[in-house]
Amino acid sequence: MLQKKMCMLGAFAVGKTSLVSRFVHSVFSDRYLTTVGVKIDKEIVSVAGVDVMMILWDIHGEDDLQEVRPSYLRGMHGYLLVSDITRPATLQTALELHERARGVVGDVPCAFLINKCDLVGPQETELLIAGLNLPMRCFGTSAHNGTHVESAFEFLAEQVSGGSTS
Amino acid sequence: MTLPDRLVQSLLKNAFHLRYPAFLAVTRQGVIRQVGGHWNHYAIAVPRIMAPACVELPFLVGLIPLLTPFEFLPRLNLGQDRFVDIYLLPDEDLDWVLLVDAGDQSAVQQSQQARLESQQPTRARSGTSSLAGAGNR
Repeated sequence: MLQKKMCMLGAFAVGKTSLVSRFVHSVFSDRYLTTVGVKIDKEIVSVAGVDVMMILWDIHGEDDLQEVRPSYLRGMHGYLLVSDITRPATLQTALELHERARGVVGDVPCAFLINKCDLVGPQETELLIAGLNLPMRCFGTSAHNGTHVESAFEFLAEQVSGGSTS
Repeated sequence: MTLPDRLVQSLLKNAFHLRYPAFLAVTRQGVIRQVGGHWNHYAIAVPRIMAPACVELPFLVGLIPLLTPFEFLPRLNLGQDRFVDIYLLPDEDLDWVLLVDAGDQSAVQQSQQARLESQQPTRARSGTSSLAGAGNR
């Protein structure tokens, strides 16, 4: 089975852990618990008939106390950048982390997730994504109701393994 | 005045053992050659000699074979809040992977982190600063 390391990157409290929890366990909890260090999870996705084990590194949010260490990013095959649609500053943090990730692993597949889109609705989310003009595939996600969560992870799985999910 | 070397060595040895070290040595081809230490402390099955390291311990995917002289990965939560610090060290034709317990430091950091984040807003106030003019849930 193919194994691929994928990292979740973003500011604190943007919903990285909730997105992983939604994707892996199909659950969402309103209770917020900050991530310390890295939480490792795994999920198997079928890409073009081949099982791919995604090793998900849910890395703590970047803030004054914790800076994302390059060693956490070493050897990753792809990553998801996560921001919170209700906190503009988290977009910038995600883009800064994108540059740092490229500095460690070079150009590997990635996608941008604008999370908590259930707070603004689909039309506004689509308008916002179009207006951002990001240089990568962008998804408006909601860990709360599951919107586009699976498709975002599957997109990354496809990209890192060079096929299409089935 | 400095502590005699034998005391320093004794302190180091005891401090090290208090952190339940578990280790394995992996060939450049990713096969486990040696295993030892307190794997049961982490509720991990003892990795099998001659098995692929990344199958036995999936978090090693992408990290071995080691391409740098040393890697330190603090506070990996391997599930159910079992935190470990991981050290990766190359040695001639093998890479050593060392796990030590990081539960205590992680608990301290978690409470500091929670305190810091409670002082910072995680949601925009009604419609004033969100990317798309969103309010609270």
